[in-house]
Amino acid sequence: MLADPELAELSVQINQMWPSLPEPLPLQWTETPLVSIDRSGVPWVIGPAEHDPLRSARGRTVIPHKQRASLKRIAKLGIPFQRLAIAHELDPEGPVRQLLPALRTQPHPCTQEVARALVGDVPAHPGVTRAVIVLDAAVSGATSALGINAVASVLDPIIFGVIAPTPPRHRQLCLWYPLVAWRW
Amino acid sequence: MDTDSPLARLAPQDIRRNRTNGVPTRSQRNGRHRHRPEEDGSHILSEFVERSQPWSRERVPVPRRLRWALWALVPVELFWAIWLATIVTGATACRGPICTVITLDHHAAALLACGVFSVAGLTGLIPTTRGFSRCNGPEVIGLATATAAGGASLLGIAALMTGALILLIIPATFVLAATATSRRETNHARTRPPYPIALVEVAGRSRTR
Repeated sequence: MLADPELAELSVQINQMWPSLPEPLPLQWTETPLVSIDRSGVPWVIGPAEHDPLRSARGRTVIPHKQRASLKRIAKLGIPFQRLAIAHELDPEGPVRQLLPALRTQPHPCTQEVARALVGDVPAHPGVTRAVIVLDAAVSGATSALGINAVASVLDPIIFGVIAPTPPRHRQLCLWYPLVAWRW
Repeated sequence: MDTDSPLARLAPQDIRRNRTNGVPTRSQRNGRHRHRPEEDGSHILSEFVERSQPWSRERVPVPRRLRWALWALVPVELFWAIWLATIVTGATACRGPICTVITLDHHAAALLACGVFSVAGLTGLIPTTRGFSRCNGPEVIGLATATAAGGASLLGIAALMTGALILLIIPATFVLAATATSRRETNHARTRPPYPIALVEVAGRSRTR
């Protein structure tokens, strides 16, 4: 249930117009990447899509084919999302381990460099990796350990569409609609 | 429509369009109103998707051995294609069993096409794969196709080498077998005398001392 009446009304109206949208999460908007722990104790880095730590140098976000197609379908619905956010699940045994005690009390904003260090790199595509291994075996008659990186990471990214009564401001309570999620 | 509602403030064009149940308004009928995504914010998602990159386009490292093999394949294919071109143009005569085998029974033109495709494909992929060091999904397909074409063009040479190997192995096997037999016979001839004879010999030696 949404405590903010304006947000609740907005949620009802959006639900009437686009009933296929999932239930939104009422969360505060953040302009910088935020490291936090969810109720189950899993650490996440959440931030605006334009500050996504996995963005390439050319500003492109890597998305699997299926989820990309799904986002295209959602985009055609014309839902007036004001901002997009991406949440990355973190390995509790990874670099975020040092921050976990501090995160138990409250979420912490972080710089893009820290977010990048916490999230790591985009894992190698398993299909492409397999194809390279097969080609390697066919050409040089050898098998390589290239596939290890491709299956090492199975963490979730989630893309949210964010709507608020006004253009979202930092720490303003907004409606966060989970649009697509996948496992690397 | 309630113009004070949060959604109305958020996306006026979208709501007006949807609330008319698909019936165009007068301005829409006159063509004055066009849906402009920048008015309602829905373009954010479209732009994001447009600017995104499929995961399969993300490059993965190529193993070093494969990289070297691909680099080696380019000059081999190039020289082979040049030689095939001389045969196709008639500058070099192709007679005899060896030339028949390596051109797969005078299919030099087909082999040349495969070779040229391979050289062109691999050369074209050098800059995009940063010297065959990293490649993505489409590039792997390109590399595999170019390599397969290269392999096809070298089938004649492979057939010749296989034939030559077989021709070498058969006499080598005969030579080895013959050598082993004669050695066994020699060894048999040098076998020690039976035990009693040996004893007599030893006894005879001790007596003479």
